[in-house]
Amino acid sequence: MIEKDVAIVNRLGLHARAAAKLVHLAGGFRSQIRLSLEGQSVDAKSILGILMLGAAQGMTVSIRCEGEDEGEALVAIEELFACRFEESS
Amino acid sequence: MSGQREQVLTGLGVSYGISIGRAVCVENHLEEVFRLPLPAHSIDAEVARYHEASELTIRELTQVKMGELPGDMEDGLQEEIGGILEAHILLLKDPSLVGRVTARIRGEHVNAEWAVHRTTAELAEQFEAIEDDYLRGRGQDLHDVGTYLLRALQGISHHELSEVEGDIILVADDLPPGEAVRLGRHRVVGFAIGSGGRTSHTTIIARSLKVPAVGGLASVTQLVTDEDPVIVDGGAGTVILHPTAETLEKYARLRQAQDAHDLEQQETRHLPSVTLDGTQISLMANIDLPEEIHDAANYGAQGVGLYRSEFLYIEQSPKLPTEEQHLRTYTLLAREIAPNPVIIRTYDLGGRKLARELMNTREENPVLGLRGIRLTMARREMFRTQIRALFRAAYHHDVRVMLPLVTSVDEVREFRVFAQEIAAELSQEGIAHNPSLKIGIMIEVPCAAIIADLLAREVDFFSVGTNDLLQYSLAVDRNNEHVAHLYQPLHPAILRMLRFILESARQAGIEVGMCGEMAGDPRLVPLLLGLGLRRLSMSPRLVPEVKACVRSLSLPELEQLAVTCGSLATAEEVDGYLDRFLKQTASMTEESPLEVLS
Repeated sequence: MIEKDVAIVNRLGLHARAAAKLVHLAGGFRSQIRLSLEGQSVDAKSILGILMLGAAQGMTVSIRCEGEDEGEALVAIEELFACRFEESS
Repeated sequence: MSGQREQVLTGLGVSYGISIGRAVCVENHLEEVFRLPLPAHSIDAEVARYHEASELTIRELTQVKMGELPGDMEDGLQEEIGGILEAHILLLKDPSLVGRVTARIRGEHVNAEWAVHRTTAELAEQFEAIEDDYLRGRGQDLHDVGTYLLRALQGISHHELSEVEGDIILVADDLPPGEAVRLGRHRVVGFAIGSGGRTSHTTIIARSLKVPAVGGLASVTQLVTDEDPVIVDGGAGTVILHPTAETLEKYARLRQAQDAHDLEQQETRHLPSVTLDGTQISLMANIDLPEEIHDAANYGAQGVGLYRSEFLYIEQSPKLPTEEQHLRTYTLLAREIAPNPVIIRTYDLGGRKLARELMNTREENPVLGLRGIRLTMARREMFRTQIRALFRAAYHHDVRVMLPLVTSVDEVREFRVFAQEIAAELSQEGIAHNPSLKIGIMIEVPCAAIIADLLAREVDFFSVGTNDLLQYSLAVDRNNEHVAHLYQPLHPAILRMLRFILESARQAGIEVGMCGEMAGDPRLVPLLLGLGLRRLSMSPRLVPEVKACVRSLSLPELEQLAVTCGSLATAEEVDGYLDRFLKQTASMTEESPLEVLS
């Protein structure tokens, strides 16, 4: 199991479109992937969970991956956060 | 839920009678979502129905997403819309959402619509706790998904109340009239409504269907769970939740006694409606639904004083009734109650009475807006159908037309020109009709009352609509608890208006009746007759009691009563005087052998 904190830098936070991208990305890995924020932990493969996390710009979420491809998964997800979910702002 | 304690809710009894049944809650914020309990054997099929709806929705959204978006749309916007659709598709597929919905169907044995509606609503509510404004607004995505699913489910095969077994007590915060009519058709034996006063449409419909109803039950939908046993006592204005076995038994007995009394009352239908001194008083019926004509006949009404034709429209809205449908209905009414007259009021739509699809207007204050005769003249094509049918029905029967919300002589003249056009059209087409169809008006706005003498020269009859006349004259919304005590039928201003209206009609030699609630109140009947009214129209069920009252009264005394009441300064003084008069009459009748109706 590996875990890492990442900051949310895009303007709108984990909104519907960003969440959709994250779900697609996470769905491509076999590992279990969870996001947590302020004691709440959700499945990164469920858009409902991600939306309900209410993660806004400036917050820090913790990503935890567990499974055979956990390393790759973590790197990929970190990258998505860093590139602001490929949004212009 | 048998373990729960009996609970008595007190509201406003709006339709008489006692009924015992099981609750069905109606939620009407989304398009018709009912919570329908399902038998165990159909649960699997229901879950499958949900999956089917979900897959259908996903396919449709995918098609939309793949399809071309309007060409001039910016790339950024295209991408954004595509992203939102994608998010919605993911939500529909989300195992957590799917799991919650199916668990609800299986756990609560309910229909998929309800499970979807409640689940998405609950989830959307949880978004309210999110701090960030933008993300909190994402609860909307859940609502959207819920709406897609409901639409798909309803297309796949719609649950109807007819699938529920046993007698139904409909529990709702509010019911739009179209819904109430539609639902009333099923085995609905009672209504328990959160909002609604005595003149609300649910009330009117409940009465017409002879179904007991209690309104004004705040948050009733939160207190009741589906299939709870419920007693509705429309006479007492109470609703009893989780009644004990004893209570159930007591109410079953009460209901029997009421039924017996009701039959007894119907027996009086052949007695003439005359005062002790031999004056004929014509007691007519107010009806909403054609079926009620049988009640009118059974309770001894001498004609229909008010047929609220908008219900023809409401029942099948948004489709408009055809000329033949109008004609059939009017002929049916007239035939059943012949040779007595049937007064058809043209659609009284607008105001708070739905018909948004017809009006297509956004009005700040619709009660003072495009409604009644104003709507008739503004939407002539729609009314042409109705007026044609009226001319035709009047050829064989005593059918008359009455216009609502008239405020000026101009409106009457304008309508007459319109009616003449229609009559000419019928002549040209060679269709049998009565060119001298009687045209009357409602006197229900103070300005019409004040120019009653001018209006009387232009029309064939008046009918005083006291419900609106009182509200407008006294500037009181009777459903508003803060001012309801100011709704005073005996206010000197009202008595003066009535006197003037009656006098104007008498001088012009036209007929005048009253079709508001005052007309059916036995306590007020002596005063109304004293003022000179000879025609009263009321809910059919009230006819026997009012007739009994008429038969116990002697006109000369009543005229004196009206004169005295007219000289008093406040509603309270009039009320007190009337009270003393009634007590005196009652003590006299007790000794009198003329009490025929006991």
